[in-house]
Amino acid sequence: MSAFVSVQNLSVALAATGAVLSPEVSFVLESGASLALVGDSGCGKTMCVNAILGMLNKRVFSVSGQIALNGQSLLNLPEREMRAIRGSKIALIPQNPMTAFDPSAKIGAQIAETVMAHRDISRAAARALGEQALHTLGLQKDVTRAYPHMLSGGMLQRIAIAIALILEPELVIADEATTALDVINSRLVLDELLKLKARGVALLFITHRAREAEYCGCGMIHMGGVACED
Amino acid sequence: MFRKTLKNPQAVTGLSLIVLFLMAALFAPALAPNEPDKIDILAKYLPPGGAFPLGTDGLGRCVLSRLLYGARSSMTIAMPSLAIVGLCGVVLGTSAAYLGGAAERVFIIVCDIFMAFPPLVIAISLVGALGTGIVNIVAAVFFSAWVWFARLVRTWALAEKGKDYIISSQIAGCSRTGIIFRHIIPNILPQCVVFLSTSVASVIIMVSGFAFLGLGFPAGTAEWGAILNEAQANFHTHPEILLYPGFCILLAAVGFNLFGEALRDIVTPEGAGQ
Repeated sequence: MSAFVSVQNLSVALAATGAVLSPEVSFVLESGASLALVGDSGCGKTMCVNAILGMLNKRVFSVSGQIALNGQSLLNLPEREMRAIRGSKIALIPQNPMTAFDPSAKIGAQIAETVMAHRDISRAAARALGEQALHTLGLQKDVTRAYPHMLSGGMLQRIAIAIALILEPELVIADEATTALDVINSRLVLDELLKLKARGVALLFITHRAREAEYCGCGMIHMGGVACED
Repeated sequence: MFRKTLKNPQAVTGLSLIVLFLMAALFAPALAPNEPDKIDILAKYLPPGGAFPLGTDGLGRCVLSRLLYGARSSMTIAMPSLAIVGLCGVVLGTSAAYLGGAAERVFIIVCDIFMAFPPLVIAISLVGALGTGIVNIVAAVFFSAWVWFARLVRTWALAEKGKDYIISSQIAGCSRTGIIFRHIIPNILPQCVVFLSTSVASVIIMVSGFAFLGLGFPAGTAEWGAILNEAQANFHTHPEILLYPGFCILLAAVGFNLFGEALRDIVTPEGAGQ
């Protein structure tokens, strides 16, 4: 199988002073494979994710190294093309589901919006797709009519996973996806991530809990330390 | 939302005052017992009663009829000018905040230029150059008020811009206009609604102030500020004529303020589940 994501010597520095903010990382991730970036808080895990997603302000940060998705280099891609890739080819499961949703919009509308940003389909079709994605994560379609504050963190995180999966991305990044959740909900989310792997999605798992990475059967990269493969 | 409005006593009080004044403005020709501009010098300063429910002023004109027609002039200025201020402020303020960079810098420079002029100076120069009339007064109100609102909107939008859900929707690949119109504007709308509805009162007072200085409508037009201006000349002999337009301005201001504050509670989604 061809390499899907390849990251070579990726590191982020401050553009003004050149101070290095995250150590160099290199990895190759194939579809159906998973990899965990493990490291203590503040070691540059999220910085690395933002660099892959193209979310860093180019005036403030300078990114060195190479990032490629299916052979296409993502660094220096124009914003418009990067926007088309975000959400559809690379999806992110957010760190804190409680703040990741617009408090004034219903869940259904927020799911439909993501779909409609990438696919030229009607609102009704987008909603139907959303309900289907929620169903695969064991959620009732009633939640589409709820506002985010009516739902629990665990439910919101499963909805966030549903949104991440709805456009069938090739790479899913879970950035500390379990940090804001209790043990039971963490387990549920991890199980969903495992299912995702089984579907042939490449998974990049960011965590500071090595055990969770082990549970997902990920190869591990210790940021700022020695890489150890399983 | 309509049912929630009816359950809120503050909103009902404010709304009934607003509806009262809007009705007065709309049906002024039918409600007014006399011609508002008909001068009868022999019937000046009549006490309330008979054909003149609130008496007559120094030129023998019916005070009640003039107040009813005055509501018309005040509302036709306050409503449209605030609608334009609101639209312009929300779109410019959020766009400047979200786009940042050069767009934001230009916006701030333009704002600073406008803020350097006191509202009254803008009004005097505009009305002086273009002459009196509704459109010119609306323009004067707009030019002196939009910048304060737009800058406020910008700070609200800046606070919203850094929140996680905006970053989430960026990561989900939403477009900039989509994020501005579907996420930032709906989330700052409660504050905007409150600001604009409380501003109705200050615009009425501002226009009354213009009229008081003779910058409003053509001389003799029934308008609350103008009526107040004419009445103050005879304050020592007939203070009651000064009270009527004053009370009208006060009550209209109270109505819009009450409703605006209640509306904030109603449209804020935090309370949606309760």
